[in-house]
Amino acid sequence: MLREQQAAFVAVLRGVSAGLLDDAIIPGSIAAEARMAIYRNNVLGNLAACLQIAYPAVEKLVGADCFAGLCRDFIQARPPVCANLYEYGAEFAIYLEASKSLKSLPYLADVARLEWAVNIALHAAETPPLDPGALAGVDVAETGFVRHPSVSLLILRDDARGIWEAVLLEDVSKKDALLAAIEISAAAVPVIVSRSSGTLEIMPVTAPVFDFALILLSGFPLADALEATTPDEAPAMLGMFLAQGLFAGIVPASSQTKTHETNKENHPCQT
Amino acid sequence: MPHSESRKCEALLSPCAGIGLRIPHHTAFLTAKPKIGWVEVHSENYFSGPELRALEAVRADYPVSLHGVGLSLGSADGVDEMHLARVMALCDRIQPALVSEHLAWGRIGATALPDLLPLPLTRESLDVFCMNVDRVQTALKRTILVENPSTYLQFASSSIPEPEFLTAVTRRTGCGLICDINNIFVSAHNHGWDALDYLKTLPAAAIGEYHVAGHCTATGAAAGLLIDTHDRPVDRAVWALFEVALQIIGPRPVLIERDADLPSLEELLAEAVMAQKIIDQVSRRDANAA
Repeated sequence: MLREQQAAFVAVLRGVSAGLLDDAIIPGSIAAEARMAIYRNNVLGNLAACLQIAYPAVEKLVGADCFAGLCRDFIQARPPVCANLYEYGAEFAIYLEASKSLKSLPYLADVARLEWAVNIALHAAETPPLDPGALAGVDVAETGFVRHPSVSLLILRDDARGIWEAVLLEDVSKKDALLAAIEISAAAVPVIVSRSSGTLEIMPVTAPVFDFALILLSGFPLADALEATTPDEAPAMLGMFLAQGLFAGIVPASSQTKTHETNKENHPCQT
Repeated sequence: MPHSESRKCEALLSPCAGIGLRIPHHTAFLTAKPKIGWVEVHSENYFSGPELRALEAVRADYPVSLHGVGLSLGSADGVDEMHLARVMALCDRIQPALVSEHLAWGRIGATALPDLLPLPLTRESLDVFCMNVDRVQTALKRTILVENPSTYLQFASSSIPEPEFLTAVTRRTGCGLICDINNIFVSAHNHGWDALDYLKTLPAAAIGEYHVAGHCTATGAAAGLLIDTHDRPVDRAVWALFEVALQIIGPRPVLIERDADLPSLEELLAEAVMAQKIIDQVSRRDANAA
């Protein structure tokens, strides 16, 4: 009974159903719908605030009113699945990409992808990066690497990072000058975002480096990654990843869960 | 279940004023190290990242109370185990003086709504709520405090008055209560309850903390209702009700809560001084009367 009541309450709150309330709620001098609207506004306001915190550049690019409308539609389509609100909004870039009204801003979805990766990096557990000394005496070829929780791999449009950086500047004249100088370009640029040593790093990399990192960070052992890259370059690449703190640990290859993914538009709570 | 360990923790927090510490105040707070008895934070803001590090720095000098908003203790689906695991990890790191949640729910099926939604107060809800409180207390190996909510509607199916429902929860689970004075004021206004009766019905011995906060009046179709906004100073009428609560229930730690339109840290601390003055006045009066 309670389960059905709560499911019906959520359906009314989300505007999916108009039923329930006249019989279930004591109206008094104020209509049941007006009472429900207080809860609806709280939920919308809290979720919109989360999106605003995660996507400040997107808000600046589309304007506050448009952003508020986008938030309302997104929240309606994708309500949160867990109570940790730092994880809410992972799919916003996909939603923006699908929106026909935003086609005039072709870089917008990639700016959102970058913002989400930054959001992940900023709120990731403060796990120490792998100490390279931990590899001493280990059969490195058969070793799997654990992705540091702050790390995301992205393939972005060439213009997305510059637009993101410029649009968040407080100094209007500097911002306008920077935006005017950006060449709109859909060329693909691989990027690794991390914050393993406390400082946010957004590192553009070459395609081979990106592929090598993708294989390792997906849980495949070094031997598998070596098959996909030029062995001569592998030690330098591995050294760069270690210096960058992209790993949180090592595990024997057989115990690794392998998931091939670039940027995480899913999160632990998603079902 | 044995809860002697947690009772010891609660006793560590003396009946003095604390503030709700919010992220924008971290730097000012850690720099000024103000003279304040304790602080309370929303657990969900500190599961990871630099915020957790800041909280550890605060904890080095102050008792900390962890106040959750996401466990959804009223949910018919039970407690979200992943969320509970995060709360457990945070408790291990921070060793809080108090841990608390709400008489509310927010999660059903695959949807988790970030608000304190109202619960029909029925026998079934009581069973569900107590089962969920038990689960949390068993996992955390301590008792928690449950806060009375501000509500804007009442269900026709409710058969148990709210203070009696809370009393039953304390008896069945051994949990304590947060007596949120502003929430009593808001709900009493919205539903025509008698705030004094409410305070007298609550089990005084189970109350481990007071909350006070600001509220506003709704406009439009809901005009006439009060809304618990935490976006302004504590209303004079709420201070007056707090004084009455102190006389009925006795002194407890009291928290100044502000979540929106945050004032400066100094303004927040000034409200805590106000709360402390009221506690001291009532205590002196009681001592003289005795």
